[in-house]
Amino acid sequence: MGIAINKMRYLLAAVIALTGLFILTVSPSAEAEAASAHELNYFQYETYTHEGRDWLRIELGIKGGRAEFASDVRELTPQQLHISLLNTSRGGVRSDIALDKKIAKYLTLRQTADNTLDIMVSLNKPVADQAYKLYTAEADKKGKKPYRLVIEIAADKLTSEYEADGPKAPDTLKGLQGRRIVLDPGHGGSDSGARGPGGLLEKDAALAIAKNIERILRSSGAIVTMTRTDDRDVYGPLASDRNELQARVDVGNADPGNEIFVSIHCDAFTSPTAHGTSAFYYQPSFRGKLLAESIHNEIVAATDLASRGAKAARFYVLRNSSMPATLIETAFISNYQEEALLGNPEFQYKIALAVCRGICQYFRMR
Amino acid sequence: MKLRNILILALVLLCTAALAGCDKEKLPAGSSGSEPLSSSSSLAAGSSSVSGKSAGVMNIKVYYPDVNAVGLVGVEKTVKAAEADKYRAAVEALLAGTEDKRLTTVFPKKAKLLKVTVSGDTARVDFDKNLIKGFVGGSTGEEMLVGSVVNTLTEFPEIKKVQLLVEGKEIDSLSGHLDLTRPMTRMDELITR
Ligand SMILES: [Zn+2]
Repeated sequence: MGIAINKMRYLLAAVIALTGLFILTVSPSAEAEAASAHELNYFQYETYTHEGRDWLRIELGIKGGRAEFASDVRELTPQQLHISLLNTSRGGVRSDIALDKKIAKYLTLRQTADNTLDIMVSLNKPVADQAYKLYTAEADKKGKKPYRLVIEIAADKLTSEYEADGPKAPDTLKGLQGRRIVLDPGHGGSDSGARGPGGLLEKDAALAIAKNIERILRSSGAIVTMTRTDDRDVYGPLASDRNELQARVDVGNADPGNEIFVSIHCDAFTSPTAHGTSAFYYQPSFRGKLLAESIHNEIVAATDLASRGAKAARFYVLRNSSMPATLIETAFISNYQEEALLGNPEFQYKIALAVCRGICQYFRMR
Repeated sequence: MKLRNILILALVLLCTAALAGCDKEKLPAGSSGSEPLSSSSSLAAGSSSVSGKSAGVMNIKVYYPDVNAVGLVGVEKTVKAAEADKYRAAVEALLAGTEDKRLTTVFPKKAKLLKVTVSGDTARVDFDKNLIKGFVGGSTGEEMLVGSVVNTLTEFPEIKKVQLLVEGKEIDSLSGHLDLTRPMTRMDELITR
């Protein structure tokens, strides 16, 4: 996601190569939402050329100190870059703003549930083909600028930047050498699982997270069996739930040497306020419980997700696996903020690493 | 001696027939005479009584999930239903939802209850296909939906297990998490209040 530009060099160049500057002064909103800890109080954008490359720099001032943000690109709208500013209201900044047109068309600010501000920048090309970076900048008293969120977007993307997007070498954990682990990315193919309000599908998020887990486990010396490695049904399209779930169990049970079964899902509920992470085990299995608790504790420690606990449940894959098994409900895809996290590659890696740490912990304690 | 045995056998057979008759009365086809009194929302089932028994007022306990789906909360409701229709009345009250803002419903809006039949200690609850079509999914959604039906019906002491059906067919799972291939016993672990 991030692009590698020497920050100092870039800042110097930005000052020298300024080709256009547009400042919109913004009066703070009279009726700030009491529930939001942060409020936008400044907006500006400018274009400049650096080393023959055209850039757009967007700055959004944030009142109320450090704000958390996450970015994502949605499958159906590849030219739109979304940035979620948590616990922030729009303040006096306009909701629809035209941009330079050459690099990006326009920007919209939409307030969503739970006080999140969705910043959407509509680019000229798919986000994957325009380098960009996001960061916060401290208040600049001389320039009379407040603490800001900065969005920089290039007109193009260099070969080196495409390469930097590629998979990084995964972390390597100790204590997994030779361990036989079955990974089950939930749903797939004709079964999409749950669907988030922004359109993210459970089957896609579960597979992305499971593939990260697979890479970390393999680089740590574990022997990993996947129930699926792409977007497909394990038994066959439109099979009965029993056939489909049993097919996943069969993948694990086929090799008596397999030691644990880990199923990866995203949770959902009718009310969008439901949130948090949970892990499930089948009550009679003491080791299943230990596995679920070990993984759950690591996820809670590594993320800001609320703990819903490690709980007993009568789930098919847990009841029918012949080894200690757990089903991880990573986060709620039906919750706007958690959907954004589940679709974010950095978060997918972060939660995958936590699952792997939990697996290590299980083998240490078992 | 022989005659007495035959008489006993005949009596037993008579009783069985009578019980079977009772069972049949518990299967109202299509409409029923159930209506929750404490809820303002009207039920699809209507109010015409076809059971032949006069409708009585009874207190039941219905389980709804809280808005964050932390667990199920038991709510006392008063419903008007003939004895034979009480199971259906309880499930209809569950589908109708509650006015308590802290609670919600996890049933798809379009989902309709077709019928509830009881054999032995097992209630078989048959919904139309909208139960699965409009379902949000998720382990939590699934546990809350199944748990609310199972716990509401097992409040009747004679009901120990619940089997879910869609359009007359037993289902294996709702959205690929819970194992529903066997009838479900009470899910006390989901109850928070
Ligand atoms: Zn799932």
